[in-house]
Amino acid sequence: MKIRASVILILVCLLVDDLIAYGLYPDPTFKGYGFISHLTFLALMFVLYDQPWKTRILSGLLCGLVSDFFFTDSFPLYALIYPSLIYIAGLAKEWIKESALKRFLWFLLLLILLDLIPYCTFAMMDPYQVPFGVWICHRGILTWLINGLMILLFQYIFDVMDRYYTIRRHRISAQEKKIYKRLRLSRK
Amino acid sequence: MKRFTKLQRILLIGNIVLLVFGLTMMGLRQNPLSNMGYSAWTYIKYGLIDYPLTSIGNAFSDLANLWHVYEDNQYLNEELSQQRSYKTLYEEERNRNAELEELLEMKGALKDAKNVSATVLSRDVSGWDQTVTISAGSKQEIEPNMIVCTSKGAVGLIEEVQTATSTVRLLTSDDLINDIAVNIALDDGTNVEGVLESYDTERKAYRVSLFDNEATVTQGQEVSTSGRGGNYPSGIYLGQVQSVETNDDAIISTIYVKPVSNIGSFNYVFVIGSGKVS
Repeated sequence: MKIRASVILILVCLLVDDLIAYGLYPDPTFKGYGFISHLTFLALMFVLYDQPWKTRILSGLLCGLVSDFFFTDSFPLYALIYPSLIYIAGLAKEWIKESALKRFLWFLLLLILLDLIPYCTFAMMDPYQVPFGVWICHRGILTWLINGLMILLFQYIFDVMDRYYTIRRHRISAQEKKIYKRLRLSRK
Repeated sequence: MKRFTKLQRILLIGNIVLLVFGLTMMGLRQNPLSNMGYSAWTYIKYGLIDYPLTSIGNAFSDLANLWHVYEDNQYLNEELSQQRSYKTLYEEERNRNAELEELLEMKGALKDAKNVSATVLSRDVSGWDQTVTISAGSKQEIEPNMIVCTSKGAVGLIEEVQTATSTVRLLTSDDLINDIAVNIALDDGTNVEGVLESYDTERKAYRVSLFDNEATVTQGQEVSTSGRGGNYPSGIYLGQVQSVETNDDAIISTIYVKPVSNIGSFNYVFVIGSGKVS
């Protein structure tokens, strides 16, 4: 995917995440059920997992900083988590390219880590943190379920986009070949 | 070999700028950066997404609320109609209260007479000015021919007595059972007596025959019972003289007496007797 399209996708995901957090604000008392949207993180993983490690880390850091400073006010939590997890996502790029199921499972694992790391961090800092079982039941399972479905959706979108760009690339190269051929014939 | 690609350099510069800016703002403890970011971001988000979505949501919400408004309207209409009923009920109770107060005053004035208070149980619509049934009977020592008064004055005579109820023949009835002896106190201190014979429906007044045709009875004078005959005391108000008719050939002069004002509608009565056996 091109850089411009990737940036737009990440911005849109950021917007949707914020909108979901605004519209479906999860119950802070954990009496009801809720979920947290991680579309930005998913988009980052899909866009960056096959990129060089420096690009992964720098892009993840930028998104983490934006999230920390502009949205969650939790610097440097996401500035550390995002680049770390995006970096890890790329470590298994050869393995996850083998099948869609492997990619799904790998991204789901990282997604779970994205929720578990902040929970454990806050649990260490705050003794009154909600119990793990309650957190899993009222927030974790629904979050992973919905975001798991989003991974499948992203897989579909990225596969379609990859095919589209491949077909387009082939057409362009075919056209270029035709032009070269004409040029060669005209010289003769 | 380059250490960083062009994209990586851009990302690196972006990261450094953002980090420095963010840390500076945090260090200075000024207006939180998140608020600034929120302001700009929220402005864009509000214009592009929130506002249209909110507008659509509001439209649906308004549509859904229409039904609630309809229900509220129905409820308020019912409340309003009940409010009107309350008003009429209040006015009715107020009138009854006034009626009872006046009756109480009258009871105070009739110390020696036997009196029984009662309510009107029924009044036949077809014979509105003929009879009424009251809630007092032989148990309350009601006897025939006792006079029945409202707060304004006499309206009828007891015709039939049952155990707990009595039938009252109104003075406006066509079949008045007995004549009522009346008395008019004149201005010169003397009295003129007569008999209430019947009710003139055309004049809407009692027809009273006087025994003294020389008496100077004028319009507006008050007529009351004389206590002669009947089972009721003297001084019970009957009405006011409406007009006077003198016959030169006869010794009886006829006058017309306007009944008490509430004879058409009353709820409480006193049954007054003299205590003598009729």
